[in-house]
Amino acid sequence: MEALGLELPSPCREVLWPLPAYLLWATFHDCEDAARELQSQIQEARADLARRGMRF
Amino acid sequence: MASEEASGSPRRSRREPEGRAPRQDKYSVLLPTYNERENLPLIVWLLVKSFSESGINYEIIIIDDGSPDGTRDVAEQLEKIYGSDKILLRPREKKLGLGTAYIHGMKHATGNYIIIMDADLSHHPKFIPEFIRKQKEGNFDIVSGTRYKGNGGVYGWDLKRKIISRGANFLTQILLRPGASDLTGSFRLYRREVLQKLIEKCVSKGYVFQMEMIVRARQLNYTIGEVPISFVDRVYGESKLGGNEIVSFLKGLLTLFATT
Repeated sequence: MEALGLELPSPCREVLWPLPAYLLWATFHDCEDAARELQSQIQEARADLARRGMRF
Repeated sequence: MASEEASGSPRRSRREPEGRAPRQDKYSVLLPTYNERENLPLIVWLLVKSFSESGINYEIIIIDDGSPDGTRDVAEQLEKIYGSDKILLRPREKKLGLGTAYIHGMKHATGNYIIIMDADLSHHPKFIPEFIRKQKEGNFDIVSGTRYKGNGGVYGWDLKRKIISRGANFLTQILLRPGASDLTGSFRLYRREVLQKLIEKCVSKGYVFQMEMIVRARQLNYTIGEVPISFVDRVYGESKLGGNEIVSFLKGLLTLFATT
């Protein structure tokens, strides 16, 4: 069975060093508005579908 | 995969399929589902809303793989509510691969564009009119939603998952240089004949399959446009990222690197 011991060349090192920058980015870039909007649309959808005869 | 074209023409050409007015665009959404009883009504409602508000001609093809949770029952109710010309039920007996779900769905699609997306509310249909606009603007063969560019992003992942995802995508960029910023994403718009061609060529599974589609598309000189999207992690249901997945992702990536 081929192992993960396949050699990864220098790209491997290139992945690791920008990680701290990504950490910073990842912490702040959150789609909170998107999640909130989705939640309220879910309520709207359920109400509308129930009116149209959907049995959940 | 029998062709429905009239006999006499030995080669595939970019002809319009029957049943659609010439020059009118129609968008077929392929929704493979497995245990999406909770999410399916919601995603369909959002799709109908987005398409109707934009006056877009559409159909939604639900490909359920014999879900034991009653997804099919919910799909049938949606068909009654919205009509069988808009909601097409094309189920299968059991859980088969994503690639075959697309092939199965496309056989029944009458659109000249195909949209693929997840049925679990992580992809929001509100982006579809933007995909369509982008496609027209650049006459692209493919439009891909990206979480890694512009104001694209993710909600609902912890830091660890974000790092893994970003790291995986970065690694992919280095190894494959694909010319698209989000390779593992599965929220995309394809010209119908392009998707058809790519599916024939791709052999991987899972999200490596999504990656392979883009890589092959580049090899065939298809053009790819991008639209930033917000990706909201599952509201219901379980998440599926484990050690096994990471290992198989890496194996798949290295295979692609070696063979493409």
